[in-house]
Amino acid sequence: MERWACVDVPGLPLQVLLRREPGWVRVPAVVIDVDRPQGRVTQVNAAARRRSVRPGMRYAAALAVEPALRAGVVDAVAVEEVVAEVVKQLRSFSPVIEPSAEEPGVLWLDVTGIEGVFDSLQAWADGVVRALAGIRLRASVAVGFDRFGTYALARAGRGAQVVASPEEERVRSGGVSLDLLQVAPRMRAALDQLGVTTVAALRQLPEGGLLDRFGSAGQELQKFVSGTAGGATDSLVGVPEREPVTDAFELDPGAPPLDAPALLQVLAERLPDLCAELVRRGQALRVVRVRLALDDTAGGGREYGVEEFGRSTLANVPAAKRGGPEGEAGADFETVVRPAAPTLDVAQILDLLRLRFEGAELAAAVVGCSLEVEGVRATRAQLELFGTQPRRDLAAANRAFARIRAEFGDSSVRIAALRDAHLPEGSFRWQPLTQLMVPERPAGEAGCEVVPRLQLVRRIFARPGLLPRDRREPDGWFAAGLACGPVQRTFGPYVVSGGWWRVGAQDEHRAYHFAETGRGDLLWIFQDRRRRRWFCQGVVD
Amino acid sequence: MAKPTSEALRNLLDHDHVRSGRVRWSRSVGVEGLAGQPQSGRSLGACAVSRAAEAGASPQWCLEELSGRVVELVGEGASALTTAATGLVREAQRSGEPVVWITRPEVCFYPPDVAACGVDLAALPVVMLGGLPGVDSRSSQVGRGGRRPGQNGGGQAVVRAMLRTVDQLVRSGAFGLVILDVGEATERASRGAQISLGALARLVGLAKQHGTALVWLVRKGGLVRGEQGEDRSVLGSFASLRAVCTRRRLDDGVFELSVEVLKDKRCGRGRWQGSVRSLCDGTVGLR
Repeated sequence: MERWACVDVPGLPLQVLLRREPGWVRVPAVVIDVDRPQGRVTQVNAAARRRSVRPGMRYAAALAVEPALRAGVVDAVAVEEVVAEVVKQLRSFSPVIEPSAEEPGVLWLDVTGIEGVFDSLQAWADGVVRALAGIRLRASVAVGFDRFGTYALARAGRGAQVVASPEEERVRSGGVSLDLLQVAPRMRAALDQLGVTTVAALRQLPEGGLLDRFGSAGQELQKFVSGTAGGATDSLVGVPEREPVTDAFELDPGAPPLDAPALLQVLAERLPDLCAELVRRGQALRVVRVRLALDDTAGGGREYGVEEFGRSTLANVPAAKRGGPEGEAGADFETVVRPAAPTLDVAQILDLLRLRFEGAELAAAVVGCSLEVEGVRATRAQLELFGTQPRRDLAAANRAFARIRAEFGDSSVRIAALRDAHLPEGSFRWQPLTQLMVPERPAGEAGCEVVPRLQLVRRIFARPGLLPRDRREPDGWFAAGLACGPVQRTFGPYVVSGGWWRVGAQDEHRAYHFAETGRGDLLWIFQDRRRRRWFCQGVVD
Repeated sequence: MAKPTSEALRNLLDHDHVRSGRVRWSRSVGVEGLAGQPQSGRSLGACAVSRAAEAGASPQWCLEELSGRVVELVGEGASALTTAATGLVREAQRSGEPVVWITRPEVCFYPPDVAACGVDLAALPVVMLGGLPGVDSRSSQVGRGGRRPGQNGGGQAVVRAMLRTVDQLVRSGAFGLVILDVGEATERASRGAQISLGALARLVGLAKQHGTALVWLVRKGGLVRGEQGEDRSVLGSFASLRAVCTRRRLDDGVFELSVEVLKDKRCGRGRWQGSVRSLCDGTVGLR
């Protein structure tokens, strides 16, 4: 049986702010959206709440209530960094981690079979809480059997909790208050008036009830609560583990060790390539880690490879070759340099490294080096501002489109725009493209991105094709011709009806089906009630 | 007990629990694969980033692997060409690469499905090659009173127009991904060897020069009979990579997409180690 776990880091922006400002933990502190008097308070700590400061107040109003109030802005990039840090910590506890796209600070993990690695699920959950406490984050963990159950228990509980059976999970999650879930305020107020205040009460509402009243948002909530949001086989979509951006080198035996200027020159040659890789990932440099391997022998050979950089050099060298007594630790030099703001300016980074190396006292000469850079999401404007030109020239694309329009007509280059309509052919329209747009890189390029699963895409015919009438042939219904084979089975009907509300207009009534042929084609067909014929709208491809 | 590494966890769970069916992995086409082995040995000058062909690991079905190449993606019957192409479009958009889709107006991808996959339709220009002289506008559809697709002529005009369009777009160097989906016209034209070899060779060079992935969706198997009755692909030796894309229903509403590489000029077919599989949801009505 699958086991899920949910980790909830409550009030993540507030925790990020308090990590940044540890002295604010016991004083009234809030998170605001912009650092202006008109900025709104988004999260408050317990001390501020005791002083009657509430989320939603203006910063100026909150200061009037509590003059000693501390406030700070926590932007999306900072939150993403912390989520990336959490994901990194959790990699030791599960290989499949799915951060929530809607709520930063909520993550689901696959813990099926984890008892083979840890002593018990409770020990595992306690370990997660301790690991996150080690990076100064307070979290609650719930281990259960499905996505919503674990989420509700993690939101409502503190520390680590494990449920023993799906029934227990259902019962305990039913008692969770809706106040603890991400429910839109209008919906929450309406449910409160109806007396629906807990998850159990929400589950008792008729299926589709929230859809009628609150639209798709209500339907999604109801599906989430009932555990049918992801379909019958809801599974985790884990965040891929990105390889770090690293480089390393060592000197050839016999070559003179590097001094600081030579080392900086070598780093100056390496850093542009690493920054280029960050640019390719849509990131700017946040941290540089440099580990220098030092010459630990006095005239002895250096028989270690690149893979030994990062560990003590003496630990892997036979005692006879060591300069000091047996058992002494190596003398690697490791340093971390962090620019004031994420940057791709190589000169700035080199300057910081120069200052760091000038101030450092190395026990011996440098014989090797390993570099690792960490990035954080950068916007397109930031990449351009840092002098890194986008790889593609959009002006050239628009010129190419202009030539195509000149040759094939103005309507030959289009984009699709969705519309709210009943019939499939009315649910979108084509409009001419004027200027090519490139979407901004989505949130989470720092490594915490959740990529939703693909769904099958249909191809639609501009005009539905008329299908053969007779479905009662002895060999079956060859709806798409002999090559495709007869229809083996159908899925449906899904009735689409429209136009009946318009006076004088003919209504459309179609019963849609998916027809699977012997060859495996999935035809998207419908029966038109008015014309009493079958048509093919498209194919699933 | 020492905290196990992520790699150790993965190996243990993979070995014991995947076999017993207690753990199922899900990956999407186009998403980066799991981290490779840390680079060992001397590395003087090159970044230690994941480049599968250079590092010796199995290549991934992703935009980076297809960049600079002409790719022939083939499917018939239970195929998933449009879905696989949508996955590549989504990956390109997430990487900030401009994309363009070339198709015919008679049949095209269904935009709501593409949008549901996470593609930004406003940033997906579609070039529609329609209304060309001598081309029957209904030639690509199913049905129509028994008329079979492909019976009408005009394929040569379509193919020439298509090649000119693709040349314009790839030559601009402005696109990271070009999807060519002109349906059965490609097969009709290739029967008469009407695709200009010079044009194809130019496209190959331009794609490589500008790092553009040119993905050609070929339906009806993509295999046509040559003069001696032998099977040959539409692009022949000009395709740098040729793969078959199929789908298979697994469970209620869940399908498995499979991309099997038949030819890879860059690193050989054997390096792909079988099909690249991923799960996808059924469209609305098939869940």
